[in-house]
Amino acid sequence: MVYPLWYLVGLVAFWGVVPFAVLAAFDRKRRGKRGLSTRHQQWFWAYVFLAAALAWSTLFLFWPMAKAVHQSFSDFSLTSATATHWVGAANYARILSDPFWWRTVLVTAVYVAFTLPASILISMFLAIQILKQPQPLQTFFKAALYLPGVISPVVAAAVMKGIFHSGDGFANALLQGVGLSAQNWFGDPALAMPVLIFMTWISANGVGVIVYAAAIGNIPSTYYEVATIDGASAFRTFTSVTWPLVKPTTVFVTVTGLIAGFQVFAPALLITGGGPLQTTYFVNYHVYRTFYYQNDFGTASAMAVLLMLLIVAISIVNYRWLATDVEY
Amino acid sequence: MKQAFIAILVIALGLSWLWFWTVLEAPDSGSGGDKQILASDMVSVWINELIGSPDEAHYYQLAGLWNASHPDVHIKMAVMSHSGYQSKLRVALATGQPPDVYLSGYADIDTLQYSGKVSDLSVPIPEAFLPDAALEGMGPLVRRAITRDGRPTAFPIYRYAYGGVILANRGMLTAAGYDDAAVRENGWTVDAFRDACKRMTRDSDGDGNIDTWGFGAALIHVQQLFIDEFGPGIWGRDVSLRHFLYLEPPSQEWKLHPGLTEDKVAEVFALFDHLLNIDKSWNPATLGMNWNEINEELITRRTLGMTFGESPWSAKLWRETWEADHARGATQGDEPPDLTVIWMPTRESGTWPAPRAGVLGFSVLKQIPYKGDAHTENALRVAKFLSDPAHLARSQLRRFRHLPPDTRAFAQLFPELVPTDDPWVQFYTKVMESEIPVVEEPLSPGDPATARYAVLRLAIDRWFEKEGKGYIEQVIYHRLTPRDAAKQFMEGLRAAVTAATQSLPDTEEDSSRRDAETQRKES
Repeated sequence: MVYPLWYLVGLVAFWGVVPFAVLAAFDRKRRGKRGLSTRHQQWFWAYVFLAAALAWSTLFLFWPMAKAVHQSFSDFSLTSATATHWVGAANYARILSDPFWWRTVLVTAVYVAFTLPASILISMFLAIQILKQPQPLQTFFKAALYLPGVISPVVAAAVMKGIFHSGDGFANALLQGVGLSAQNWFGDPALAMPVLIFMTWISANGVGVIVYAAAIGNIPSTYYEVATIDGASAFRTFTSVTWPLVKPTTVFVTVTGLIAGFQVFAPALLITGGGPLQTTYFVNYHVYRTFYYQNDFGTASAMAVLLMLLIVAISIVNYRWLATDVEY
Repeated sequence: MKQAFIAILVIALGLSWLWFWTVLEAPDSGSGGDKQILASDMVSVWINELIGSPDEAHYYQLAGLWNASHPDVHIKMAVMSHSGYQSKLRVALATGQPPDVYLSGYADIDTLQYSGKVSDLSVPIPEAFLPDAALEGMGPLVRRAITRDGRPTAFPIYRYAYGGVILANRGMLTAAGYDDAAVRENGWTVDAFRDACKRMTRDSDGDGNIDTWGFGAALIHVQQLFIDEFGPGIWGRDVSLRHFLYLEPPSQEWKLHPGLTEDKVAEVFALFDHLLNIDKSWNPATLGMNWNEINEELITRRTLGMTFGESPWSAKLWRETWEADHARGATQGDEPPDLTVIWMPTRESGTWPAPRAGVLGFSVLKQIPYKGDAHTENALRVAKFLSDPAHLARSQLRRFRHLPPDTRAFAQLFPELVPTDDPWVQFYTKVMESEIPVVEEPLSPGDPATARYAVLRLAIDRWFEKEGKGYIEQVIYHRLTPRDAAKQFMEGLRAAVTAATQSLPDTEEDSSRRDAETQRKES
């Protein structure tokens, strides 16, 4: 066995030497003499430090991705390579013609549709409120709202399961306190997904609040003064000044939110098991079950590739739709 | 340019230092077929930490004890969490880096084996390491569970049986008019079980709301309830033995068991429907709970009369767990739970459910690539050491009360540890030595029929994941009647099995049979 460290060393050498070799060849052809141009010489240390990061990414990100793509075209076996067969696009054809796959995509899309826009609006609203506070309080609220994001998903799921316990959880205690009946939160097909969406609304705004606070804080106050002088209402000020000027931030929050939303996994694994009635059976959970419970590595890899393409496609569409520059 | 040259030299020096470092660290793997004991051979061991953490320290201490007294063989111990163990083992096998010794059981390797893509990966244990006489002393269940092609494939550390039993509140059961000892002795029918559930479901504090229920279980358990708990009592143990498949005698082909009929599936679905929607004796709040929460309802809060019990001696285990928690001040109330274990109901009196029994033990995996006979022998020595009764006395009995396979022999060695007069030990021993549990004996990997079985079994599992258990949930949530659900269930199951059968490659017998049929039709 070749130790991973040896692979890493080789990759560092690759990324450190190959770009320079390419640049040196390019410069020699262009200038007709040996050595790097002055401009390319200045890139030397940048490449040295980039080489380490690129080596790490190659070994633990790009290479596994390439292997997964390769595996998605095969009937991967647990015995040996000779028992693995190239099946072409058969895995993809089977997945795309499977109604269950489309059901999981729909479930995930519903989850994203109800969490992402709300998350953007909630983050923006909270950021605006935070910016009205004195600086020390701003720091406190930013930290407090960011904290749920750093908690382990396992811990968060356990806490939420306790809150929404079907028996005497906190949520049911609140309901019964105002005379309503207790609910079977994770045992009712009509409630399980709304509970997960609500959990995301209240806990997944940390990054959005931080970036929106920074973006809104950088909007020159003159715009707001002009709006005030012109007699604009708060709503008009928001739609005509704040919203357009934080569009780049909205693009960032949207794209990252889409990626995180379509990769949702922990609630299905830790709380609902994909149910009830498969109402919370997300795509990522389907990939996980296919990998580890059905041992169908080829199909699971194909599903993962399709999920990646789906996320990329939606992100591109979103980016093109939202990423328009606004200047005043 | 000069600077770049110097930088490249520095990098090259660093690379060569790292290369020498990794080469020196690489252990000598030895040559194939060499019987000489190697110096500093390393045997990797993976343990599945079953319930709690006490085993972890114990096994690392065992590894230290071995390493101190065996300089020729070094144990590299890894204790892993229960939830991630199977997936890590599969990944390790897939990437060609499996451990040498692993804690096997709960069909860890079998589930991989019946996937049709994994040949027999456990090394047969030679007689010198596990004599036949010792294996016979452990009982027929152990022998059937671990013997493959005439040799055992695991050093057993305990026998398990799950499914087919109910964990019940004895007081509530007695108040409902049922004697747990009589149910254990004679079994009971589905109608009696339903009646008991109904009687346990009541408003105990007179506020007009039901606050105790006869039964409870979660949605994540419906598959187990269908296949291993309610189902076998209705369709019979033969259908359960090979997960709905059977080997047709004349053709020697695996097919869907004829005993699994639409009527019987409808009966099982109807039991779900009756408990939840008609009798309303199944607490609907438990559908969204997990296993620990349901047991808390039964054991601590005592709002539940019965749930599926997992193993024949679980009443003893849960009582001891409660007492340990109570000693730490972690439970509410001072009155210990009065728990009991009874059988799951059956369709007809005089029949029994089908607990699924097997063996947990240490197995040696075939190495990928092969590291030699000497290394395999060292791995066998390590596995035998880990399964020694003296070590089992400390690990298994101390925390988990897992009785070793040869209970009588162990009781003679450590009488203070095995209370043979304990009624639950007696019940457990009686069950494990009876014909009631079903033991899925390993199939021969060289038999073509085994490969076909593996494909069909996997197809059923996959169909169940996507569609099968959905029918149970649709009955639970009143979207389908039990009869309609059973009809669709059987149609889907037959289609899945047919599609899997058609995907199987032709064997010589298939071709000959097809040719013979063609000739017969033509004539």
